[in-house]
Amino acid sequence: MKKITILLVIVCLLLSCQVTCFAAEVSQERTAGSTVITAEVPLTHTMSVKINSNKAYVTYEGAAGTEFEVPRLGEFTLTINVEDGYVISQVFLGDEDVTSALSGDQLTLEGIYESAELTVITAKATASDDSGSTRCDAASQTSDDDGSAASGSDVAQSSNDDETTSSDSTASTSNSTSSPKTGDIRTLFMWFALVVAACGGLLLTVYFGKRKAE
Amino acid sequence: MKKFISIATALVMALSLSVTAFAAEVDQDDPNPTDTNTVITTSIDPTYLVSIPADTNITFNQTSTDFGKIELVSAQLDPGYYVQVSAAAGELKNLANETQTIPYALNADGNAFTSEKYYTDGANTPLTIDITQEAWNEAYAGSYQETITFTVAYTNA
Repeated sequence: MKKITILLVIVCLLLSCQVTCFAAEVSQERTAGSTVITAEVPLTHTMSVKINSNKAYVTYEGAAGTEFEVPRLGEFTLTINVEDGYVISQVFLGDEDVTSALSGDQLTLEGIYESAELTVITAKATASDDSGSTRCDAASQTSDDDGSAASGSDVAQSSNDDETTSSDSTASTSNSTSSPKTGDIRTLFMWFALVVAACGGLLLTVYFGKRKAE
Repeated sequence: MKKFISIATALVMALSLSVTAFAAEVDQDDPNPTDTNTVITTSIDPTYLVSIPADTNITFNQTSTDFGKIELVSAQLDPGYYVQVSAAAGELKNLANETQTIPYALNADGNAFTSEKYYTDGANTPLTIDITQEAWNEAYAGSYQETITFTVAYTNA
């Protein structure tokens, strides 16, 4: 009986034991979130071509057109084809004069980082222009002009007037001593030769006619 | 020996007994009642919700792009505490060649954003991603990407 009593007392005491409950701890730990930003840089840019006359056209990689997709920050070459009797006077990329980048009819550009407009200015060739050349001497004047970007492109004066610094091709009429341009670029020598030959023929006809009559 | 163990065990258990504390009684018939105070305590865990800008695509040649905002949407903060959000700008990296990068700036109101403290819900900071025209001009072609990590801290420091 004693044992049972002791055991019951122990069980009762065990059941009445208190258990301490601690509150849950909230720790404000660092948290993080991330965001992705993206950007796309195009491989090519559009080069639109504007020509001041219908005497020329531009080709790129063999195809003619007025708009070309050219590589970004790369080097590329455009071919400017000009009709006989005309030359390339100036070439602008946007507002920048890039005539110096012209070699013959090949215009090599590089470092294009946005779409741009190429403006080609043509002018009539003069007798002083090389027959095989498609551009006037303005470009060579530009390169010899202490590195300054001379914008002059006077076609008529290119042979011997080194002081030309006019800003457009129409400045070729600024020299008051030169004749107005007619568009006929043939030399007068042929006409003089024809006159001399005709006169000679006439004289010979008269001479032989008189001699036959005698 | 058995007796000794039983007594010792009973003693230990008796010492571990809990004591019930009863509430103070106020007798309505007491002619001189005294004030009785009861202290109620509770604890509410601080909660907050911070929104950060969503993924954004930057248009080519755009020097300033709206990047959304950081906002403390809702908050139950301890007095003196605040939520601090920090972020750092870096460089957009070309996915094909990570050496080719586009530097950008993470700006708020025209100034570089590094971190900001938020005390009340609704507080926010509009952000922009700014890339200079020069950086665009020098960027090589391709797809660029960058992950901006926003770190959120609850502190009173």
